[in-house]
Amino acid sequence: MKKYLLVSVLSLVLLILLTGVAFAGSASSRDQSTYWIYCDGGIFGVTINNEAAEYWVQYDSSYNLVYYHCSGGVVKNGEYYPFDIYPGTATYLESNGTTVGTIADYEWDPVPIILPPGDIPYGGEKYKDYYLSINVPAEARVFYGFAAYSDAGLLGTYGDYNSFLLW
Amino acid sequence: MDMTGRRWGLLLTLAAIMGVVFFAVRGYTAEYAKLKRAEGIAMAYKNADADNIVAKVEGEPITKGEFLAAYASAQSSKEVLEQEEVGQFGQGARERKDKMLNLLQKYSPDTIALAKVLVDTAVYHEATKRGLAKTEEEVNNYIKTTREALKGARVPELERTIEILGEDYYWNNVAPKIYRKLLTIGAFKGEILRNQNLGNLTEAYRAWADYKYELAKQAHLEVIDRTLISSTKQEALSYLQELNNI
Repeated sequence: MKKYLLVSVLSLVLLILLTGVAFAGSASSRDQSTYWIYCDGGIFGVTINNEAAEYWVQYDSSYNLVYYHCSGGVVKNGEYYPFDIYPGTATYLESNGTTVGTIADYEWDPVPIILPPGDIPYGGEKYKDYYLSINVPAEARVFYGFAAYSDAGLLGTYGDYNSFLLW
Repeated sequence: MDMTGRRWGLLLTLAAIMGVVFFAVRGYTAEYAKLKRAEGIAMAYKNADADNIVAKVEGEPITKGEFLAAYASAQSSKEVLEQEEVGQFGQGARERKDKMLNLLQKYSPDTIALAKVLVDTAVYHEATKRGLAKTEEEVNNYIKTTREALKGARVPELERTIEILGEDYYWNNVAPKIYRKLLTIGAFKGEILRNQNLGNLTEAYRAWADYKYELAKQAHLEVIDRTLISSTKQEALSYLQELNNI
C-alpha cells in the first residue's frame, strides 16, 4: 500500500513539474535599422538598435500569464546629430488578430546599462500581467523608432517593428 | 444574393476604396511636403546670388543661400507637421507635435529662418572658438563615407536636391559648406550633452537649447540685406525662447 502511495505522489510531483516547465517560456527579437535624415540640405544616417522580449508562465490549464515585457535599445551616437532625436517604443500583444495588451511608450521603466559615449537609450522593462489563452497563438508586435526635430520643426518620423510568436 | 445584400456589398466596397484613397493621400502628402521642403532648400542654393553675404553673427557670414534654405525649411515645416503621423510614438510625441505646430502658426517663416541662422551661427562660432570646428579633411571623409553608405539606398529628398543642383555641384560645392557647419554643431552638442542625464532626454535637450539661446542672445547680429530679412533679433529670440519650452 505504502509503495503505491509513494509512486502516486512522485508521479503527481513529476506531472506538476513537467507541466510547469512545458508552459513557461520566453520569446525575443533583435534588430538594427539605419534611417537617412535630410536636414538643411545635408543627409545623416541614424542607426537604432532594438531588443525585445516577452516572458510567461502557465496560469492554469487554459491560460498563460504573460508577466514580463522588455523593449529598448539605443540610438547610436544620437547625441552628435545637429538635430534632436526623440526615440520611443511600444509593445502590442495580439491574439487572433486582436490587440489584447499594450505597453505604451510612457510605461517603460529604464534599465540601467553602461553605454558608449554618444548613444541615447530608450525603452526598458515592465512587469505587467496579461492572461492569454493557450489554445490560440499569441504574438508580440514591437514598434520602435524616433522623431527628429530641428529648430525649424519636424524633420520626420522613422521606425519599424518586429513581430514574434509567443506560443 | 438579394438586393439588400448587394447594396451592403457595394457600400462596403466603396468604404474600402475610400479608406485606401484616404491613407494613400495622407501618406503621399507627408512625403510630398518633405519633397517640397527639399526642393525649396535646393533652389536656395541654386540662386545666382546664393553666396552673397546677407547677415553676420559675431562676424561669421550668413549667405543668401543659407538664409533662403532656412526660410524654405520654415515654410514647409508646418505642412510636414500637419501630415506626419506621430501617434505610434505615444502621448509625449503627440503633445510635442501639437505644441510645435502652434508655435509655427504663431511666427512667420522669416522670423523662424532668422532664429535658425542666428542660433546655428552663434553655436558654430562658439564651437570654432573651442577648437571643435570640423576640418576640411574630416568633412571630405564624412562626404566620402556617406556617399558610399548611400549606394543602393532610396532617399527621395536628397535625390530631389541633387536633381536640382546637379550631382557634382551638390557634393563638391554645396555639401562641404553645409556639413562643415552641421557636423561642427553636432560635435559641440555632443560635448554639452555628455554632462547631462540622457535618461531624461527632454531635460537634457532643454539644457542644450537654453545654452544655445544664451549664445544667440549674446551674439552680435548685423543684418546686411534688409530687403531679404525683415524680422528683428528680438522676434527671433522670442521664437527660440518659446521653442525651448516645448
